[in-house]
Amino acid sequence: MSPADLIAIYFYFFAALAILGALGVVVLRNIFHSVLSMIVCLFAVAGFFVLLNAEFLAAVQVIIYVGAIMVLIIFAILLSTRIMRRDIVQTNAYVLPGIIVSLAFLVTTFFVIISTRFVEDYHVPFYPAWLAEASEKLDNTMIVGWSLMATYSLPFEIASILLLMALIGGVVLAHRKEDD
Amino acid sequence: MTDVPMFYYTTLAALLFSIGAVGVIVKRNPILIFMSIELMLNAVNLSFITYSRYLHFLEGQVYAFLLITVAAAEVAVGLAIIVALFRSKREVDVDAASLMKE
Repeated sequence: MSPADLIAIYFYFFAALAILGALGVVVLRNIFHSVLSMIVCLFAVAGFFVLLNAEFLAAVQVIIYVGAIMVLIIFAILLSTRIMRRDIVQTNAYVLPGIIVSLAFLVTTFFVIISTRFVEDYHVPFYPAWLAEASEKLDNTMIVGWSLMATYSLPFEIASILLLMALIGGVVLAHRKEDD
Repeated sequence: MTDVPMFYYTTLAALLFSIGAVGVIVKRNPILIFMSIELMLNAVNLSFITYSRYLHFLEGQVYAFLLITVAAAEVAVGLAIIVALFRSKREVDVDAASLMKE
C-alpha cells in the first residue's frame, strides 16, 4: 500500500468521524451527548491538521479545544442546566427554514469551490525568502513560531491583550455580588 | 506527492460549516448554539490550514492559531454570560432572554 493510499484512507476515516461528530452535535437530544460528539469532531479535525502538515496546530487544537474549551462548556452545563430531564425541547420553531438556509449555503459554497481556479504557489512578499526555501526541511512548529514572533508579533500581542480582556470580562460577568 | 485533492478538504469544511449553521439557527439552548459556533470556527480553521498546505501559504497556520485564540476568548465571555443568564432566569433558553425586546 502506497503512502498516498494510506493518506486517502486516513482522510476518509477522519472525514466520516468529523461529519458524524458534527451531526451528533446538532441531532442528539441530550446536551451532554452533544458535547461528547463535539469532542469526537474536534479530534477528527486535529487529525486533518496532522494530515495537512500542521502538527503544531493539531497539538494546539487538542490542548485548547478539547482540553480547555470543551471542559469549560461541560462546567457551564453543570452549572446551568438540568441535563437529565428528558422533556427539554432542544429545538425552536425554525428547524425547516434553518436546514433550507444552510443547504442553500452549502450548495452555493460548493459551486464557488468547484468553479474557482486557485493560484498555486502564492508568493507572500514580506515572507523571508530563506524561510520559504527552508520550509520543506524545517519543523512546522519552528515555522509557525518564527512567524508569530517576527512577522506577526503585533497580532500575537493583540491576541494576548484580547485574552486578558476576556479573562477580566469573564470574571466580572460571572462574579456573584454579596448582596444577592 | 500525489495527495487527496484540495477540493475534498474545502468541501468538507463547507459541510462542517453548514452543519454548524443549522445548529446555530435551530437550537434554543445557548450552550448548544455556542458549540455550533465553535464548529463553524473549526470549519474555517480547516479551510485555512488546507489553503496553507496546498497553496504554500504558510501564514494560514498563523491565522488559524489566532482564530483559536479568539475562540477561547469568546468562550470565556460567552459562558460567563450564559451562567449569569441562568442565575437571573433560572433556565437556559435563548427565547427566555427577551428582556430588551419587551
